[in-house]
Amino acid sequence: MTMPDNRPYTPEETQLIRKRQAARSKILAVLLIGMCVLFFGITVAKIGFW
Amino acid sequence: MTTIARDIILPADWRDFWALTKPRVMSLVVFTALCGLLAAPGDIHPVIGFTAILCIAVGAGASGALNQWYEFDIDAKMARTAERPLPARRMDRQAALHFGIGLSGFSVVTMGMAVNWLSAGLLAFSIFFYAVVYTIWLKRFTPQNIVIGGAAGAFPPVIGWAAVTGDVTMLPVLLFAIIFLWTPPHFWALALFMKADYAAAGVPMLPVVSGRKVTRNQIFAYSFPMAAAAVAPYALGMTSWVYGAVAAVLSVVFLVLAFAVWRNQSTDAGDMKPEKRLFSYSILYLFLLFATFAGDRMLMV
Repeated sequence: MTMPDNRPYTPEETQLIRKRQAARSKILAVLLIGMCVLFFGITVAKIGFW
Repeated sequence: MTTIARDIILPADWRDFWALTKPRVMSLVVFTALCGLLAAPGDIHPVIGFTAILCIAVGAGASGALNQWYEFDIDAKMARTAERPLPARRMDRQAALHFGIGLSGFSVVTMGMAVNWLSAGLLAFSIFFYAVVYTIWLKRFTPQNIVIGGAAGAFPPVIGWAAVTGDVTMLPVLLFAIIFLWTPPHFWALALFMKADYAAAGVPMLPVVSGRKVTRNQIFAYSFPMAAAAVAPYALGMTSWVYGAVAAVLSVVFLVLAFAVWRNQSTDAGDMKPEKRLFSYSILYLFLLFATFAGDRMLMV
């Protein structure tokens, strides 16, 4: 990985980026699952099943 | 820290995206919207009601993100806001813009498809009003910025109401009026003891442009129509006497605190206890007023 000015990231920077990417991916996964559940609930509510 | 010694911004932490949404402001928005929703006559499916409140919260978060995207320069000049993600250089500005636009689109489209298009339209207008009319147009150019801009914060109970009924009647308009008239005394009390910050950032808040005396006069003057709007739902027969009594007591306390501000002559922020007291009480006032209103209406309806 390189910086926008093509300098390589330092090992600390790379580690920090990986840590943040992992945390963001987990949050995104939770949000996507939540959205699926929400849209399923909306669909069922709109159909009038409950 | 997301900036390293070389001052290049690394990918932002998720907490910074959360901070962009102004969670504390969002909590007040969610609360007033929930009160509007609970007070409205008629039924709403719990899932649809939850979706409506979620969309309003996400829309408020979107407004906060767009506000911070545009105001990163003045935020950097004020101690209160200098540690936000953009002025602290923990996040790329473009990411904040995309985040704000994405949340706006999601909240409005979901509201329209799941709830109804009137509430979606009102939500879209309130986001536009806060992000464009208030943030871009009014805030930097007129001391009346928060008077007109206060309308953006007054929309949530109307949207909550419209989510249930699909229309807007007299009562949600009164709820709008309460928040609209509450906003100037609330923010001007803050601006009085944060005047130096606003002056340093070049924001033409009323104390900066017209001085403290005029601001104190205006705070006191606005408190009267605000109190009248607060008791109006009872006066017009739309709530029981319980809400009327609570609104009257809370408003009298507000007027007493506003009177103390009006009498205060201090120019030193350290001696502005009446202003700080009014600012703190104004938040409690709105919470108690709306909670009582929602409870009263639920019992009535």
